[in-house]
Amino acid sequence: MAIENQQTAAAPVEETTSLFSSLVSYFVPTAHAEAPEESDEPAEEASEEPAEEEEEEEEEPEDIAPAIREECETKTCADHVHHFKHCQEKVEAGKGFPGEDCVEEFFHVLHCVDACAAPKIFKKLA
Amino acid sequence: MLSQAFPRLVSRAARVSPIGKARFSSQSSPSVPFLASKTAIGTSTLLAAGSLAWYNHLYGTSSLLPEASANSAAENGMHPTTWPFEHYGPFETFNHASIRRGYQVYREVCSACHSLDRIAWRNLVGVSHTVDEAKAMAEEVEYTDGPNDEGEMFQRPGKLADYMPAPYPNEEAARAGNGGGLPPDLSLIVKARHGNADYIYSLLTGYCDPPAGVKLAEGMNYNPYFPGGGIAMARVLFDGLVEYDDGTPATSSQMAKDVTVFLNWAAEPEHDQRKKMGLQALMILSTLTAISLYVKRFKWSYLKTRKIVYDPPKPARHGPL
Repeated sequence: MAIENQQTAAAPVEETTSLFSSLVSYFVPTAHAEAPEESDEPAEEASEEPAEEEEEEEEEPEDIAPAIREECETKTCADHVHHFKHCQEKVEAGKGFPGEDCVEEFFHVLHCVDACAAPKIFKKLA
Repeated sequence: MLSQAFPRLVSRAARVSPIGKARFSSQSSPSVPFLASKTAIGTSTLLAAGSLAWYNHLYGTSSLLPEASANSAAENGMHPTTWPFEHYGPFETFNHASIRRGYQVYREVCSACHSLDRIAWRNLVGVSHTVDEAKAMAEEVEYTDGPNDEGEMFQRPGKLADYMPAPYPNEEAARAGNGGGLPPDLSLIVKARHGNADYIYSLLTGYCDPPAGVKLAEGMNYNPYFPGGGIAMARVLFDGLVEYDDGTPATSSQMAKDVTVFLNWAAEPEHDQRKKMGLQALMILSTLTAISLYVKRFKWSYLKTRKIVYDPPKPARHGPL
């Protein structure tokens, strides 16, 4: 009985490879996450990656984002940062109107820095 | 009819023109209708002014003025930029290595406070983990099952069909454990927020010092991407917080990206299949279009290539008769 059950359980898997799906899989390859294949993948990844990462793995990895964002702030978004700093100084010195904050100026900086940094940061992420 | 709708007009017309007077003679008595009278105007004006005064007395003058709307930039939250996730292209799948790492981040970091109710262990199979891995992870969690033969509930190790365990038994416990803030369930969070994956990534990496003049409630943290700016969740992702199996350096940007991709998968598990079906539809429809164009040309070729020649009759030798 147990063997029969296994066979019936295995049967649908074979059935799914119909003419159409095999035709489709010819054009659109599908990765199956069965145990043996999965065990292959980490091996490949492991062989590819250590070259870059061994330096970083020793200590705590350092994020690339802050440096990239800072570069954006000093170069692309210098104008926005200038306005934001001006606002900060004014409000912190108590010279702003009552209830004034620098949120809008800050958002302008963020808007600029995000757009500048997003592609650069994601280029360096796995 | 007319005199009822415009009593003053009618009465004036009746007064001015004798013809009008003659015409409306049946109605135009010298007494003015009540609504056109000075008494009516005076009374209604008094009523209006009186109700205004009474309302102000009860609720205060400011209640009539427009109130400040919650529509400033800060109240809407910073709009996230588009982060170039791999799965954003029309034919791109999720980065499944990223899903696997993201699950690890969820399990080791987020799941301390956030539930993931709609994802079962079996959902991970073939997506980020193998069957054996998923089974092993499920077995580490104890689930209450039953009742057994004696009518009692019992504890058993998890199975693939079990759903992810929640950190708190109910909402009240979750609020009590987080200073009154309710950590939302993350199963559909990517779909449930404006900006989707971009928002989640921006929120996770966006913690910073509040700009000058921003006042935060006690126990709140500043995050420009969160509407209102004050968020109960503190920054959680710091460099090196988890250690990835595949050796990817676990920087906070990397972890934020991975967990965002994982949550995007949790919200849209059909994503890869959907795009595959889209490509299949494109294949079939473009083939059918090509075939139909070809068939059309084929069928019409007979008509299109025929030549109609007018062969006029030869003029008769002796001319028309």
